[in-house]
Amino acid sequence: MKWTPSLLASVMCVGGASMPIVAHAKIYMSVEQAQKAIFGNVAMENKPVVISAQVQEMMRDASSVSHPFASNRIWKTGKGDWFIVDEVVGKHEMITYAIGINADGSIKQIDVLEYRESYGAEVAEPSWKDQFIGKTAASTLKLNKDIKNVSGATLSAKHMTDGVKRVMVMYDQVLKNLH
Amino acid sequence: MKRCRPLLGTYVEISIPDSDDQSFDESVIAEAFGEIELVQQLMSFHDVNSDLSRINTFAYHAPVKVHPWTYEVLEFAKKLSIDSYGAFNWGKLPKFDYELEDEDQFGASLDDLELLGGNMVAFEDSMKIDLGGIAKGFAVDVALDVLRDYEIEHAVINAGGDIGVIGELPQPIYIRNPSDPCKLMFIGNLVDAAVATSGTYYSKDVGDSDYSSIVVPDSGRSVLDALSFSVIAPSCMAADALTKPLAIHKNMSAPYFSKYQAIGLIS
Repeated sequence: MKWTPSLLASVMCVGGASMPIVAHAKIYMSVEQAQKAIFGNVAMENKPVVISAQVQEMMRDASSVSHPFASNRIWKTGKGDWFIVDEVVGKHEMITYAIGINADGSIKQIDVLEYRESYGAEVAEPSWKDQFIGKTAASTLKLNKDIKNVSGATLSAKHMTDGVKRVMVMYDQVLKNLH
Repeated sequence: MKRCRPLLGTYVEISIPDSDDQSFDESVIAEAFGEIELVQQLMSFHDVNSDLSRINTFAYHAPVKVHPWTYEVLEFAKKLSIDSYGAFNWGKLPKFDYELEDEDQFGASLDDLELLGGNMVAFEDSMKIDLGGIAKGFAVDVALDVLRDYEIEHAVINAGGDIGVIGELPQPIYIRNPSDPCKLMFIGNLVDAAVATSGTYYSKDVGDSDYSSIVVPDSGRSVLDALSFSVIAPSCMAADALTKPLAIHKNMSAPYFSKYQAIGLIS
């Protein structure tokens, strides 16, 4: 074990200028990578569906997720498994995730595809400023290289649990009976 | 390769840097997530079939057999409770927010937890325990063990802010500024160790009172200072658990830190 504290940690003071709040995105997987991760190298067919107002209302009631479900991001394997992409609210931004449902209706796996968050950085160390040179709040930050290891309570996954609930309602009402 | 799944009520991220020195595939990460799922199944307070729910329901009436991992976590909790002079007890919610069938449950403590050997657990008093303050850290530890088994040399697992690191590459660690949680503060670099942080910045108002998730065990009062409490330790379970005594005693020189080879940091 080795811990090298920052100057801030050594003297326990909070100081320095505030940095602008910027948006960070973590892209974990593409849709294709997630399909492979969950179901392996099987062929999948894109099966967009139309969801009736009645089913949409059932989905909302079961989950309290109110933003519309984009029903074109649905795929099916030859064996009757389903792969669905959906989005839920994180803290301020959306989290895109994929859910694999086995042919028997059980959930196989859930993976986060993209996670976006807004935060800024208190300049506690002089070297901190360097990474912001040339970037503005509107810049697209380099993906994956800007991931911060943030220790401390982050986000409850409750919204995702709700999202999964609405997907399972949709599966039950629409997909299960499709051939 | 980085992967993220919703587990343990939060988001768990496993990161393995791509390099020539380590080769692995998706299935290794999937196996590590599988271990975390198992911890969730065993130690979930809300799942009626978990080990935790079974002991909360039955252990006062008769000894209950649990999974070796559950037993290991309970052993650690009981020992730390003694070493931290009772500051680490299991997570009890403030009195006004916790509906207890039996008021006496608030008087119970880890002293009433009997570890009988052979993974058998009994309670000497009727009570409910919650392993939330420790199970997440344990999950990170078992997942890292999977990666070590596959000879992965560098990896980071972040389970809702509990972070475990394998390897020689220093990992920069940030915490949220407790006075302004949208901002981050860099606190140091971590090698082959774990860090966990408790803060009151996500506290809620309940009626006329404030409460936070950090509770002083005997009184049921909340810790409400706008501070952040971090612990660096060799295991994530220890880091996770020690944030509670740190938040309560606020003493970075307390003897239990060196006993667990840990470092406390208050911001």
